[in-house]
Amino acid sequence: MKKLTIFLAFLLFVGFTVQAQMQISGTVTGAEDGQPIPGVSVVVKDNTTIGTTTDIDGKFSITVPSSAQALIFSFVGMKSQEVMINNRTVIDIVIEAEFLEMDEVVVTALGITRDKKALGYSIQEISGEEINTVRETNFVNSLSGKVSGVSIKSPNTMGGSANIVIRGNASLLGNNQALFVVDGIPVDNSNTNTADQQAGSGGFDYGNAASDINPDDIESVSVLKGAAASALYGSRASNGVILITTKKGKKGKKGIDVTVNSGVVWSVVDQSTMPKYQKEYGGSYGAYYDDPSGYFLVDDLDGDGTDELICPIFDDASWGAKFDKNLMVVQWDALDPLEDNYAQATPWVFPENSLDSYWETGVKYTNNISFTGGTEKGTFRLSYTNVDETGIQVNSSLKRNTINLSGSYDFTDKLNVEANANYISNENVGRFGTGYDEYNVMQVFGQWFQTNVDFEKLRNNYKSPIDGTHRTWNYTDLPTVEPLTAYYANNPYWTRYENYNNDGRNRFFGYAKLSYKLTDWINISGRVANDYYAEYQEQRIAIGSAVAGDLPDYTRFDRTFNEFNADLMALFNKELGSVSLNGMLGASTRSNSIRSIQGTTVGGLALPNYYALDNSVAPVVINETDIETRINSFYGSLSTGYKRFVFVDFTARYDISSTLPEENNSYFYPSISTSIIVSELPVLKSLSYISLIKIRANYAEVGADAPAYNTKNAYFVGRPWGSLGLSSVKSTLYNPDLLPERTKSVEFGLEANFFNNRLGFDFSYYKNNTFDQIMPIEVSRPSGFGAMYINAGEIENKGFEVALKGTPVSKKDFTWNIGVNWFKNENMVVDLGDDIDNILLFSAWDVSVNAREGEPYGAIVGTDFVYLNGKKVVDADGFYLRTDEEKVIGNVNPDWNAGISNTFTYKGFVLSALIDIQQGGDIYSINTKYGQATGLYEETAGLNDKGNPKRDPVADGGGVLFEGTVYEDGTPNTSYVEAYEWGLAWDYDASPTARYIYDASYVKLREVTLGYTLPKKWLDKTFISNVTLSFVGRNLWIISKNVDHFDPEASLSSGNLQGIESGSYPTARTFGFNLKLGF
Amino acid sequence: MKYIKYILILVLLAGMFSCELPDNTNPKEPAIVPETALFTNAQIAVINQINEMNQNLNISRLLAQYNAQTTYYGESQWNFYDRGLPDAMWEELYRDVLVDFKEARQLISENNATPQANKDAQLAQIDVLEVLAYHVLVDVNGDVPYTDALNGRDNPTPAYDDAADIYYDLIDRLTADAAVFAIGEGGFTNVDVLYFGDMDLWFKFANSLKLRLAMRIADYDAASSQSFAEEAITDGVFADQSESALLYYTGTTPHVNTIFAQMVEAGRRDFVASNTIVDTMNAINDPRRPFYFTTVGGIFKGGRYGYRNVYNQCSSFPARMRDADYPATIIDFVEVKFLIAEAAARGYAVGGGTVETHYNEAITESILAWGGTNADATAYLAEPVVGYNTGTTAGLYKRKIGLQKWLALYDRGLEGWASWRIFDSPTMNIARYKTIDDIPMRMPYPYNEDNLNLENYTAASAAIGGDEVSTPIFWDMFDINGNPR
Repeated sequence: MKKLTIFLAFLLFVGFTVQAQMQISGTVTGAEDGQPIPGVSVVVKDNTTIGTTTDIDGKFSITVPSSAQALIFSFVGMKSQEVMINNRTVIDIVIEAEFLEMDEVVVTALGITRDKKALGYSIQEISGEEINTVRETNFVNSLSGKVSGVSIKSPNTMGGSANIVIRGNASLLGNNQALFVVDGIPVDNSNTNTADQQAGSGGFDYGNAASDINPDDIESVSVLKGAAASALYGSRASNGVILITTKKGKKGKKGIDVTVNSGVVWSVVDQSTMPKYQKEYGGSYGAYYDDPSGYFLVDDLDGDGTDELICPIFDDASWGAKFDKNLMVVQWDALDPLEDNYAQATPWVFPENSLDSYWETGVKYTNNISFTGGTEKGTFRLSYTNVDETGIQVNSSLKRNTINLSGSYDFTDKLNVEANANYISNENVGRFGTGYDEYNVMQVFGQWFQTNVDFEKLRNNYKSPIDGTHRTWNYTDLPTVEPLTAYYANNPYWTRYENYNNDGRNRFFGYAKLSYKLTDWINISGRVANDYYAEYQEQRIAIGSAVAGDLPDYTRFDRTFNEFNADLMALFNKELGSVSLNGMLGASTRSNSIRSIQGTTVGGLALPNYYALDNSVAPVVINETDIETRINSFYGSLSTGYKRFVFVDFTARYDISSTLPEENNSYFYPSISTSIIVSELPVLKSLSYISLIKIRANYAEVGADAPAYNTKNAYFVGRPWGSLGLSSVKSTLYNPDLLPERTKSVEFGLEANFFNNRLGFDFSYYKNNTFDQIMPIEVSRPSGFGAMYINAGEIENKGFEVALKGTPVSKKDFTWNIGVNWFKNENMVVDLGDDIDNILLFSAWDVSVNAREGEPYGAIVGTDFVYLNGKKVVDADGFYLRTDEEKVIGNVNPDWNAGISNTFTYKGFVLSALIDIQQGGDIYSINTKYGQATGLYEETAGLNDKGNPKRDPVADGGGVLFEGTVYEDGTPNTSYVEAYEWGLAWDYDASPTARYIYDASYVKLREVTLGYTLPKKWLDKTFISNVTLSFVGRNLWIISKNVDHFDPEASLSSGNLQGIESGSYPTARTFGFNLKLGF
Repeated sequence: MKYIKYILILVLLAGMFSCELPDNTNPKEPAIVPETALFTNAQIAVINQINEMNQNLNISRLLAQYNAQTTYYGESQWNFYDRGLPDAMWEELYRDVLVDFKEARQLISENNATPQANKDAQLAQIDVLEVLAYHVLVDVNGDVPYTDALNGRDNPTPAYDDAADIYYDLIDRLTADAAVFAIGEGGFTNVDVLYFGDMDLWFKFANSLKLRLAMRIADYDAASSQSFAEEAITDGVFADQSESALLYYTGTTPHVNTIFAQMVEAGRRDFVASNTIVDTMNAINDPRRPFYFTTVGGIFKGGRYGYRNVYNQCSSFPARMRDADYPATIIDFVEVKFLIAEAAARGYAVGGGTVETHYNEAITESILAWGGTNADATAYLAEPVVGYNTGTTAGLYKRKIGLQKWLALYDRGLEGWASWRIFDSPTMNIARYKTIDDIPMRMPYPYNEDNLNLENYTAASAAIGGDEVSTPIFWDMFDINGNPR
C-alpha cells in the first residue's frame, strides 16, 4: 500500500489554484491536407513562459494575460506563425510546412511530448515516412546511418537479427541492446538464438523480436541515447531507448480515411560480397592419388575393361588438376550406378554455373491498408499489413500478418480511455543456417568446396530420381567400395529442401489506459500493458545427410514470453509567474515470465521423412526453462523552466527486483539535466542570423539487477544412467552477495541553428561508466568452475556525436537538404576487479574476443606476425613467423561511423540518398582462413610475381613470395613458399592468427528513394485523394571496402559477440517500388 | 466526483502489484541432490574422459599412434593449438569431475543417516577416483594445480604444485584408501557402476593403481618406487582379468562407448588404425589383429601416421569395439602383469616368478582377453621379436616390455602414450612436415590459463622447464633414444 501513501502525499502537496485571466481556444490544421495537428506549440508573444501544445485533435486552450497581443504557433516541420489575438477567444489557424523547424516538439520518455528546446539531453527523431517507404522486414535495419551514436549490424540472413547498440557496449556480459518502447510500452526484443549460434559455431538465426514492430504503423521514432533521457524506464533503458509512436486516428474528422501502401522489392546478391573462386584448378587436396598426375582416382567403374579417371569426391578442397577441356573425368554426378550417365566422363573445366547461379532473386510484397477515423468524442485506427517474402536461397519464405487497432474515447471532458492492440503472426520456412555448421551452405561455398562442381547439376540432382536418396558432390568413397554416402558436405539443395527448419510466432501486445483530469493541472492515469508471444521452432536433419555431420535429427522448441507492466501516474503542469513546473509521480510493476521446452531426438531417426519426437532412436532429450522475475518501481520527475530560457529536469527511480539477494534487492537512481537557450540572451537575440543556440548538460545514474536465478546454489541434472540419477555442480558458480550494478553518465551538448534555420548543428559529448557489473566471468578451470558470478569492473564509453543539417538551396519549387550524422565512441575496459584482467567473450579456433583491462571492449586476441622495423618476418623457408604469446591483434570497435543523407525536392518529386560509412574496426574471417587453405579462393591460383603459375613447384619458378617481408636478420625475403596443395603457403595451422584479421571499414550507398506525388488537381475528379509512387533501393552499392570475399558488416547474430565472420552470406541489394494511395 | 472510484480502483490495483516478489529459485534445477547422484556422475565422467576419442576432447589415441587420421590430420601432426585440446582436458577433469567429487564429500559429511564406517568407505571410493584424475593430469601436463584447486570463489587463480610432490601424495592416498577398503564396510553400492560396492575389488583396484604410479616413478626415484610397488603387490593387486576396472556402458545415448559415439553414431570417418601399430603387429604375426582391426582387401593396413589417408583404404575398429556397450578400461589385470614384469626386471621383490614368466603371462592374458587362444599365445611367444630372451632385443626389458605393453594397451590412449614415454619403445613415426623433436612428451597447458591464471601459469611453465611439448614429465628420465636426459 506504499502507493496509496504516495498518492495521498501528492494530493496534499498540491493545494493551490490558478488565477484565470483570458481563455483562448482553437484548432490548428495543416495547410496541405486540412488535418488537425497535435503537438503544436502555442505560446504568448513576448511572454514565452506561457504556452501549451495542441492535443490529439489539434485543439488547444490557453490562458493568457489580458496584456497579450499575439500567439505564436510552431511545430516540427511547419512554418511558425504569429497570430494577433485581437480579443478573440477562438483562434483557428492553418499552418504550412517548412523544412527546418523552430520549436521542435519531441516525444520523450513515457510518451510525453516536450519542446525539444527544453531537453537537457540528446534525442533524435526519425519520421515514420523514412521507415515506411523503404520497409525493411526487420525495421531496426532502417535506422542504420540515420541517427548518430546508433550502431546497427545485421547478418545477411532472411529476417535475421539486428544488433542495435547505442553509444557503445556498457555491459561486459549482459545485454547491450537498446530498449524498444512502443507507445510507452516496452516491447521485448530478445532473440532465442543459441549461444553456439551467436558464437559462430552454428545454428539458425531466428531474428530478434523487435522485428515484429510493423513499419507501416509507425508515426515517428525518437531515439533517447543517454541514461538521463531514459532513467524513467528503469535499468533496461540504460542502453538507450528506441521510442516508437504509432499512428492514431484523429478526432472530429468526418468520414473514414483509407490509406493503401503497397510495395514490392526484389533482392539480388551483390557479387562483391561473395567468395571469389579461382577458376584454374579443380577438386582435390593435392596429388595424392592413383593416376600418373596424382590428382585423380582410377577405377573401372562400369566394368568395361577400361579404367576411368575419377574426381577425388571425398576431398572438399580445390588443390586438384588444372582445368583442361580435353581432359575427361568422371565427376560426382556420374557415380550413381542406377543412373544412365553412370561412369560417363565429362570435361574437366570450371563450370558454366558456379556459385553466382546458386542465388535466387528474393521477392518481398508488403501490403498495408489502414482505416482511420474519429468523432468529437473518440478516434480509431485499424491497420492490416501483410508481408510475404522469399529469400535469396531456395525454400525460404517469411510471412507476416499484422493487425493494429487503436482507439480513444472521452467519456467526459475529464475521463478518457485509450487502448491499443497489436496482433502479429509470423510463419517462416527455411531460415538460413549460420556459422560453422552443416546447415549453413556458406560453410561449404566459402570454405570447403570443389571449384569444378556445377551448380545446375547440384540443383537437378540433389536426390536420386530412382530411390530418392541423397546425391551430393562429396562422398565417402566410390560406389565400387561402398554405397554412395554423403561425407562432409550435403548437396546445398538437400540442405535447403530436406534439412530445413521452420518457425513461427504469434504475438499480442497492447495496452489500455484510463486517464482522469483531476484539475486543469493534474492528470491521473493508470495503464496496464502486456506483451505476450508464443513461438515454436522445428529443425531437421534428414536420413542420408552427410555422415561426418550430426545424426539425423529433429528438434522442436516451444517458448512463451510474457511481460506485464502496470503503471499509475500523476502528471502535473503548472505555471508560476515566469517559472513553469511540470512533473509526475508514478509507481509501476513489471513481471516477466519465460517458459520454454525443447525436445531433441537422440541417436538418429527411426523412420525416414517423419519429423516428430517419437521418431527418436534413443530416449528424447528435453530441456525446460521456467523463469519468473518481477521489478516493482516508484518514480518521479520534475521539470522546471524559467522564462523559456533555462530548463532543469530532475528524475528519480527506486526499483525492487526479485533477481537480487533479498537484503540487497532495492536501488535508487536519480538524474538531473539542464538546458539553457543562450540565443534568448538579449545580446544574441538581436542577431538575425542566429536562430537558436542551446547548451545542455546532464548527469544520470542507472541501477540494474541480475539475470534470474544466480544468487542460490542449485545443481545440474544429467541424463540418468539406467535408473541412476546423475547430477553435478553447476559450471557457473552462483553468488549470494550480488549487489545492483550502476551506470553513471554525463553528457554535454551544444545545438545551434543559423540563417533562419537553414544551417544547424547538434554536438554531444558523453561519458558513461558502468560499475559493479553483474557477470559470470570465466575462471581458471582448476578452481572447479568454468565461470562465477561477480560484481566487479568498470567499463567506460565516451564519445562525440555530431549532427549537421543544412538547406543549401531553398527555392519555390526546388529544395536541397543535407543531413550528416557522425559519431565516435571510445570504449575502454577500465577495471575488471581484483585478480581479473581479462574476460573471454568468445573463443574458437585460434582466436578469441575479449574484454581486457586497458583495452576497448571486444579485443581480438591471437598470435601476431613477428615484426622487425615494421616489416613482417619470415623464417628461412619464407613462411611467416608468429609470436609465441597471444596478444591483442585487433578490435571490433570502429574509429567512427557516419551517415550522409541528401534530399532533393522538385515539385512533386523527392529524391533522397543515404550513405553509410564505417571507418575502422576489425573482423576475423573464418571463411578466408579456410577458403584459402582449401585452394578455393582466387588468390591461391594465377601467376606469381615472376609470371609463373603459383601452383608450380618453387623449383620450377612457382610458389608464392610473401611480399614486403624480411628474414630474421632484417634482409629482404627472397624465399618462395610452395603453393601446390593443402597446408603450404596458406597453412592456417602454421600462420599467425593476425593473417585473417581484416579492416571492416566501408562506405555504402545504403538507401535511395525517388518518390513522386501526383499533383492534387489531377485527382480532383476521382475518389482518390493522394497518390505517391516511389522507387526504393537498399544496399545498392558498396562504394568502398577493404575485404574481398565477404561483406565487412557481416555479423553472426545480435548480441555482444561481434567481429567474427564465419560462413557469412553475401549481401543482397534490394530495390523495388512502393505505391501509397489515400482515399 | 463519481470517477473517484476509478482512481481508487487504480490505486488499489497498484498496491496489489507491489506486494510479492517471486522467489529467485529456478524450478528446473534442484537445490538439493543426494551425494550418490554426484558420485555416479563423476565416476562415469572421469572414465569417459580417459577413454574419450573425440578429437576436441582427448587425442591420446593419436599421441600413442594407435590411430591415424584421414582428411584432416592436424591433430596427428601434434597441433594442439587449433582446437584448444589442453583446455578440454582440464575442463573435463577439474570442472566436471573433481569438483563434483568434492561436493559429494561435503554432502557425505552432512548426511547423518550414513554410519561413519560407510562414510569412510564412500570417501575412500571417491579418493581413488580423484587420484585417478590427478595422475592423468600430471601425466599429461606435469605440474598442475592440486592443493589450491577446487576452492571456487575462495581461489579463482590456483597455484600449480610440483608434479612429483603430487605423485607422492597420490600414492599415499591410495595406501590410506586401501586400508579403509580392507575393513570391508560397504561404501557406495548400487550407485557404484564400477564394482557395485565390492570392497575387496576396490582394495585391489587401489593397490593396482598404486602399483602403476609406483612403477611410473621407477627411473625418477627407484627406492620409493620399489617400496611402494612391493607394498602394493604384497597387499594384493588384481589376480584375474575379471577383477579389472572396466566400465560397461548401458548402451543408451549418451551412456555409450566413445568409439560407438564417434564412429557409429556421429559417423566419423576421421580415424583409422595407424601404420605404427599395424605394421608392428603384421611383422610379428600378432594374433590380436582381428580383434583390433578390420581388414582391407584381406590384409591389415594402417593409415600413414601424421599424413592424409583414405578411410576405406585403411583398417579401422572392428565391429565389437564399435558396440554401444563396449566397456572402457581403466586398469586391468594385463597391465598389472606388465607392471609386475617390469618390477621384476628392475629387481623388485614381486613374490615369485621371473621377468619372463610374468612377461609371458601378461601377453597371454592380453591375447585371451581380446578373444585369442592359448595356442595363439604360444605361437606368438615363439616369434623372436616377442620372446623375452630371443631376438636382437633379448632380455632388454625396456624394449621388450615397452613394445608388448604398448601393444596390449591398444584401447587406452593415455596409458599407451605414457608407456611409450617411459620405455621409448617402439619407434614412433614422424608426422608430415615434422621432425623427431616435435613428438610430444607432454601436452601444453590450457591456452586459457594465460588469460585466466597468468601469474601461476608463468611460474609453473618456468618450473617445469618451459610450457613446450618437448618438456618431459618428471618421471620421463630418458630421451627418445633411451639415453638419460
